[in-house]
Amino acid sequence: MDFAPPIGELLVARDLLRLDQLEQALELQKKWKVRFGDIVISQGMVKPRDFYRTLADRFGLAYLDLMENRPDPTLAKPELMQDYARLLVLPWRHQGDRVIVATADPGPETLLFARRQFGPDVWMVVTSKFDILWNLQRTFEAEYSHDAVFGLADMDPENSAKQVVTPQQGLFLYACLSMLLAGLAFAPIATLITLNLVMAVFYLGNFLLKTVLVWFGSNARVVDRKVTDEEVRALRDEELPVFTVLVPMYKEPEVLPILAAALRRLDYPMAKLDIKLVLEAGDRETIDAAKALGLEGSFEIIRVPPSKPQTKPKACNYALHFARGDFLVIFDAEDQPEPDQLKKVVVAFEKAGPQVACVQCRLNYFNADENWLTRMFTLDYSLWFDYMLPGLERLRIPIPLGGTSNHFRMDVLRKLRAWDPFNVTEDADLGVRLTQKGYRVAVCNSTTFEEANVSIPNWVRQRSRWIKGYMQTYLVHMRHPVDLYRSVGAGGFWGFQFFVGGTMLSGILNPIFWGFYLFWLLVGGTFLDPLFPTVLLYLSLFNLLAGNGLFTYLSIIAPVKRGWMNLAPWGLTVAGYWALMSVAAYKALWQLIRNPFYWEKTQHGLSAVTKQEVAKAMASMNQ
Amino acid sequence: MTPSQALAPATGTTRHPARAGSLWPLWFAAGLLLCGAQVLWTLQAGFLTPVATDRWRTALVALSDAAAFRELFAVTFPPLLLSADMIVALLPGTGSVPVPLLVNVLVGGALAAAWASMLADGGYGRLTAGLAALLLVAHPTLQQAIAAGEGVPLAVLAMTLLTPAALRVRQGGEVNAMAVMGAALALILFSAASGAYLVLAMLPFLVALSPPVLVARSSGGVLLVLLFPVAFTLAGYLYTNWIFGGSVTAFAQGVDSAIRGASGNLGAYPWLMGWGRGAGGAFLAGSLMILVACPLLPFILWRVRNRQARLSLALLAGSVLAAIIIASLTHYLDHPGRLLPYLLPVAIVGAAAMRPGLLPSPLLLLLATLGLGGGWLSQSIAPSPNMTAWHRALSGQDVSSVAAQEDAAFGVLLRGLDDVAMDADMSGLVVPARGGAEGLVLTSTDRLKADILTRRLSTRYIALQDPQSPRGQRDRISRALPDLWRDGPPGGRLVAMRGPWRLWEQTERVDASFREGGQS
Repeated sequence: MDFAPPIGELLVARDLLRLDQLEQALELQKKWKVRFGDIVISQGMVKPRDFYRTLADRFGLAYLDLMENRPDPTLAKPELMQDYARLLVLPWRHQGDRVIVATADPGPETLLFARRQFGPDVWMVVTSKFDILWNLQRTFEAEYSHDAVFGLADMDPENSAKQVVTPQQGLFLYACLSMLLAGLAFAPIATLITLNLVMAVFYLGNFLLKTVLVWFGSNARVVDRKVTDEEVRALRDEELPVFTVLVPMYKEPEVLPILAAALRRLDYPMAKLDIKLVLEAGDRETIDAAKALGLEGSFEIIRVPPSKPQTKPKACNYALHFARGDFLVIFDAEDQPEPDQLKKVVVAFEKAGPQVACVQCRLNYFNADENWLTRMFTLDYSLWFDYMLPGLERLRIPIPLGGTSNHFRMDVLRKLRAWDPFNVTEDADLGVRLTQKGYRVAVCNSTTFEEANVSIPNWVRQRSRWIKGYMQTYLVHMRHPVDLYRSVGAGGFWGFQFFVGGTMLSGILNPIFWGFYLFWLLVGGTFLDPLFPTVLLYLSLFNLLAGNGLFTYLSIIAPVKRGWMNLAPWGLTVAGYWALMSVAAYKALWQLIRNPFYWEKTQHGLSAVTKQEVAKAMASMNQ
Repeated sequence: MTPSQALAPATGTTRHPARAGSLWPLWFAAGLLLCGAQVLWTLQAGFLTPVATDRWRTALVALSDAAAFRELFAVTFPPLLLSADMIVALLPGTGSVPVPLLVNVLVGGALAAAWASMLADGGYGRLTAGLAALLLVAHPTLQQAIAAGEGVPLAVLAMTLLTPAALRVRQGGEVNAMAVMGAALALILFSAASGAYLVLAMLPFLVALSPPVLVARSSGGVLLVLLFPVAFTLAGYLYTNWIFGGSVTAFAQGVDSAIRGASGNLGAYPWLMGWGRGAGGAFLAGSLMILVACPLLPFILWRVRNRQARLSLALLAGSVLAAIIIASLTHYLDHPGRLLPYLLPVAIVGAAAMRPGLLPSPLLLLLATLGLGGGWLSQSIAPSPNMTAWHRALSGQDVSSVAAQEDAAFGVLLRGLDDVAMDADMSGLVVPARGGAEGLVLTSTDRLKADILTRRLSTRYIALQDPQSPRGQRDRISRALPDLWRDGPPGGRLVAMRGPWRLWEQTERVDASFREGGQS
């Protein structure tokens, strides 16, 4: 029999918790069905250290501050590091023949684990979960780091972009180039006509696919009301799963308040949120800014030790070791997810069935009207997330995930070894990998608002990274085309060719064709006639007129779903945006050759709207 | 998306009427039979209009020669008809069938199937839906357009897409409805010349057809979404005219170009000399004809409860009336009956939106039947020569023209002959009667162009028309070599004469070996 008073009463007795807070916490506990400690810490009612000190007294155990009394690093076993993180336990030191084990969760499961690992005489002491996590990171830094970088490459090397081009692919490219050169030398006109035909068919396929995608994606009844408000309201808090929220950041302390405020606005039990700010260990300014915000106990800071490649996926892989949720989502630092997003995702997972391993929410921008670039970027994202991705889902084509707001089933994510740290669009790669492994990606009608790039050089940096990542993704998944075909089917295979391959290739090819066309318009004459036999001429003319017209129209209709009709006329200027994409595509190609794993950092916080959002967020946090 | 679904509440609830979708093949076949029988009957009486002849010949010529295709495809208006004709002409067994009429009959079948499905989705029984659809397909204005080989049926099919989309746009501003509406406008524009006038007339109504919420945010944006397909395809069409026809308006330069309609011969059209001469007369007579020819529509506008639907339907009907006025004032329209078929999809969508509760099945069938008589009556007011001929053909009288018979006979003579120089653009029924343009050396070929420049033809045969005849004055061979019709080529032998046509055979031919590639 347990005669000790409940922890809540102990906290009240020690003046660490007010009576009304206790009642509130008990009410929430009844509603959410979570542990009392998680509620009072996540709600900021009690400081974690005070809570764990009281918890130690409640169990008659000693309390230990692991930050002052560091554990013996030789005691912890690397093969058990996942269990330590899961059970919040860590062997501290020897005392005689006994091992003293520190834990933030002195329950029967922990005791059983400790006795099994360290003998029946083991002693338990209580410490804060933050101390456990911090010391785990220190103790197993090398192991965690190695796993974050090489986990996928070791387990599934065929799906890692660590090797940019395989020898077989190199040979294939060499053979193609040789054939092309030989053709140009011995039958130049026929070779150029063939090349022209291949390109024309590529353009035709590209624009037909995107037309079909947009057609399916524009079906409001299926797409925009996929999860309804009624379904969200029908959810019961106690049935909601624990959600891990990863927020990888690097040198962007200025936008941190936006995310913190947005996460606090989430309509989700705070005690069921496992929020991790994933920061580079050397990024002192962001770490200090995060600490200065005085965030509640649901927020944890994960410091990622320095190693190469220094990429977001590596940081996420590192943080994944400490994630405790059933589901996991990634947000960027300046993200503002709609408050009901997590609940909508839970419903979407329930409706989708076990095959769906990831739900991608929509992304869009809160500073759409700032300048021409932000308007075009908004049209681009609206088209991509509001139309094309739902179309891909409908046609069962692999979905290249967008940078944030992708929600995963934790078990599947871990099974697949999460993100590829060598791929600079690890999200896109993971989306395709999930499909290849037999899972599906679904999309959800909830939006996360972000900051659109306001500066062209910054945009080119960001876009070149994305296109480079698409190139890596294409190369990785085309290492074994037959396997890809078998795993995703004919529709998925060709969809992948045109959607992922087409997106990167069109940026490269467009300037070549525009150049020819402009030259012909300026100079006139019949010098290009031999390259355009009648059928090819009409195909090319169709591509030129229908293709450009269609893509312009898609940009015009892109904002309609959101009612942002004022942006529609800007779609007429999309050709300028395509030109920028081509600049980014050539930069991406160059970087793929010279520096494939280099992560072009996008600078956030440049927007005037972002500054206003930060001010608003700070004001809301101070209230 | 059906009209009844278009009117469903925005909460996403949908009705589930007894589906008649499974019966659409039956209604398609019935529509085919109805239109096919009418066309065969009038064809037997010799009813084959110049429009149908031109379409048929153009399709055959375009299929036979790449250079001709290039020119024709760029400058033929409306271009969608040519595409449809060419596709159908490629089907085996269509060699001697008037392709435009076949296309129109197929479209008639499609209209019957689509309309029956729409009515069934609106809650009408399968039989009622099918019968009502057939009654509307049988509407005299539509049947006359089908028999005349006009592009109107294809444009009406596009209007069938546009009308429910317009209702959905007004209801909720759904993006796919807006895109369908934009695309349908472009299809109407490029399916029939009358469609071009309808699109023009619709322009001022588009803002009122759009959802007020979106218009309040940006009316320019809404119009752009609705009109971009039309604007871009039009720009593309003008561009191809410039590239291949030498002028952005190459399609409209001929005095008998489709877009000019009746303007080339005003005196032949009682409508243009009477009611259609002024806006007031066109408005009054047009309104009356609409009421008489489509009694369903006023009833629907009176009884439909959904205000948004009523407004959209009224605006669409109003745009047809506006098109009648505009087309009359620009002297395009030979008779309002050419535009009245565009009201039929509006009536269908309106009936489906009302559902049997407000428009019971017997009343629907009664009003549709009354429309048949009304349509016939409207065609009797200031009828165009074509309408009169069609009425006569329906009553079994022979309406065939001598010129067409002569063309057909000359075409039969040309069967089996190859290497024949001819200006097919001015050849009437010759090419269809010959069975195709393979073996003809057309004015679009480099070879004949070069021959005309050097004034010495290199083909074995030369077919040309009397330069004094109306068509012969525009025959490019006769124009370039005015004495050739009378004297023939040096040492040439007159092989045949039929009406204005003469066929010469050159016994002393210019060596054409250096001019390869011209022969089809």
